[in-house]
Amino acid sequence: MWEYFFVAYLIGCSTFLLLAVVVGSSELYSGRRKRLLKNEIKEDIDIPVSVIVPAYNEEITIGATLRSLLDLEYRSYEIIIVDDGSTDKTADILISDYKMHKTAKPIRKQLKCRSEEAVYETFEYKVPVTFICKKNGGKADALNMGINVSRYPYYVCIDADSILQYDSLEQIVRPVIENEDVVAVGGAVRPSNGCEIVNGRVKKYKLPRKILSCMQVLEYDRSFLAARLLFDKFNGSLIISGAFGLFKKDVVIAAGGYDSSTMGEDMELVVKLHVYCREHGRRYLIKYAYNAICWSQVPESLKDLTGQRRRWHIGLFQSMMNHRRILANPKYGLVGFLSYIYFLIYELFSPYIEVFGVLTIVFAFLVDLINVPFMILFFLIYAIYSSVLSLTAFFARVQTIDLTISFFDVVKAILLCFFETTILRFILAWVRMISLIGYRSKKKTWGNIERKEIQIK
Amino acid sequence: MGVEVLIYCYGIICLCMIAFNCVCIFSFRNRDRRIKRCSRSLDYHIQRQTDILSKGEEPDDKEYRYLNRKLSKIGNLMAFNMSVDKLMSRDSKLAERYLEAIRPVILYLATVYINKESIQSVYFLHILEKYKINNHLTVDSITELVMQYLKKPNLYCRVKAMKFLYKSKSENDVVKGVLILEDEKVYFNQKLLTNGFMSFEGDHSRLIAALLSEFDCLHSETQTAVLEYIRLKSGCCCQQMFNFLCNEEYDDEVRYSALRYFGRYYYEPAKNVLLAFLSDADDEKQIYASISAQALAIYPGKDTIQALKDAVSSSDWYVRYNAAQSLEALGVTYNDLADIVYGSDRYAREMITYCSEHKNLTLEAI
Repeated sequence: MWEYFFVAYLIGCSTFLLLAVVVGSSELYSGRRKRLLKNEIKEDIDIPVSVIVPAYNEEITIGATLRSLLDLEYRSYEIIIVDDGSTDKTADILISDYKMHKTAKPIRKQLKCRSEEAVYETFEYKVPVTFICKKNGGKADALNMGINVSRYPYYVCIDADSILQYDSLEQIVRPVIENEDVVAVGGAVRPSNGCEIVNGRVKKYKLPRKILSCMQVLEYDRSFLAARLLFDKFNGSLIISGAFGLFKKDVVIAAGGYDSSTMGEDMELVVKLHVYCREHGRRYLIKYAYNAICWSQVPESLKDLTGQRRRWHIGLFQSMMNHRRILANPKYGLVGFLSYIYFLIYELFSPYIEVFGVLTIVFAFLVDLINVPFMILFFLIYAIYSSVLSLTAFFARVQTIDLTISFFDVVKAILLCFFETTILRFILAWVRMISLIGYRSKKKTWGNIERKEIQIK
Repeated sequence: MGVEVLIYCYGIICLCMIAFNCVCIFSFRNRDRRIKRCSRSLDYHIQRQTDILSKGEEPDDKEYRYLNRKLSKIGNLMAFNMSVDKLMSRDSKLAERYLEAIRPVILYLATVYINKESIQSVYFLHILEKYKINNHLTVDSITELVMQYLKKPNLYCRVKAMKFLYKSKSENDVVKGVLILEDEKVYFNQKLLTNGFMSFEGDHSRLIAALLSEFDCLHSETQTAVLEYIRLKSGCCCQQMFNFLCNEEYDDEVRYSALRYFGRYYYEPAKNVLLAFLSDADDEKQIYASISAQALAIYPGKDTIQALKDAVSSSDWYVRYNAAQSLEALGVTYNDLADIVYGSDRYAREMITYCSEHKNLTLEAI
């Protein structure tokens, strides 16, 4: 019986990956063709957006992040930084370096969040900057505060260690211009490790020097870019990365804002938007803008990476549990039948199935129940198959956004994708499998990843 | 063995994808070279034709046939774009004469590209718009064709076709275009439409009159875009705007837009309506109240100041904020607001204090 289960699992997984990569790559190429043939709206339409940056102990990166936000090529936006009770010098750096003035700005508390301790503002730059110091309440709580302070109908949330590409705001509002039913747009998060970014433009693109970061670049293209392009086709995206996404404020407020009790507030919000819009019969679209690029640091040590993935998995578990009524519910259309089931089986349960599968093979080998040459062949086919998919997604992405990579990086990508699919994947499966042990005690904490100073020229 | 075969199949498909990638890379690079090569050959051709034009002669039928055939392919049209760019940078007058001389070709191409895939139709419209080809053609002929492009189910195609109409300098064509979109039940983003009207190259007062004459046939989203355009462009429509504002049959968004108009242009009869909206405590009408609070910034008077002072204590945050801003804009001093500043309403006090701080910070920044 079990072998049938594993076979069905494998077929489902391979088919999804294949579909994602084929659809994703075609979408990227079609996007490039559209750009060449001027299928764009190049108007000076300034849909004003509030850029919200929640920060917690970001003294190393916050200054550079704000500087990069001030350099964006967009006309109408404001920047709101919410310090969620940092214990380091995040606040001091912002107040002194950016000449912030303490004000008595009244805040309209449309969403519940912990109270502010002080509000600072400056109007000395091309856009207004507001800095709020508040009591610690977690990232979701900080984002809710940011929404309360924001004054524009759309907001963008970004991580404090991320840099937006110079045209990313223009790109992320484009789906809204094209269709007013759009309530949320996910941006493309790319690992910035190894890149040289000058004034929000990539000057030099190369794969990171560290192997672990390098493997994550390949993983991001295969798992996130391709899969999100596929889900985008049927309005079935369940995740917009917390590192870069645009949301329509009134819908988010109506849906109840970010949930402070979950670790994966980004996924939780998107699922909540689906539920809210479907239950209220509201026409809505959740889009993915692969041209809206946010460069973000990925963990360089295994410890940080496993911590990050652990949080992601807990967040996934909480969102899936909170909205379990979506499962195969006709009211939610393809979101309930495809997206939810995919996330349930191939994201939430996958580490258990994969680790159990490996253990079964080991057990079968010990009791001499396995055909070893066939097993090796099978494993090789799996590794080659996954590697080819990773490479397809990687090269499609590199080619279609006019990045050039060296021959050395091409070789490096080919070699590392094999390790990523055969080794890293199983390590992360193990981490995700054990992540739910004792998660309740840590569900409101910020993730701590060792930060590196962002080099902005 | 079934699974193995399946995975082999997937592997082969993936290899095909890699091959597809390689072909794409090769084809992208090759296409640039091909377009440049084609552009060079068109350069010689255009040079010959411009020489003929310089002598006061016209190109012959053979020339038209050649271009009809050649430019019907999208790659060649891209090369043509490149060649005309070069001619434009060398001698813009000559380039314009050349484009005028090949009018029949452009008309022919308009009939060809309307039947091509939308992505190519968009590029053709881009060329029309880029070189302002409407200036060189009998307007009616090309405009009629462009109207057909509006019916293609592609947003970019419709946007480009409308852009062409904005540049046509004919208000009637723009209105006709808007009505086609209405018939097709296509509603552009309001800002996109407003920006489009703003870019109209003809007489704006005539466009406003033409849009207003069809106003009641439009969908409320388009009506809002029209009113926003009027607000940004003309202060001479107070009476019509007042009618829209007072007519409850119009959509709320349309009436909000009319309300905003009176925040930009002073119109005495509107003042009492604004004051009435501001003092309306109905929760459903708070957006009217908040826009009125903002608009009253240009209606000085004791009654206005008193109404705004009362509004600072409103239960709606935006009404309070806009009222405080308007009081600041009307130059009401801190002393005049002593009753609020030292009063018991903490929210009103905070708002007044903040608006004063905000003004000082803004002035400091300037």
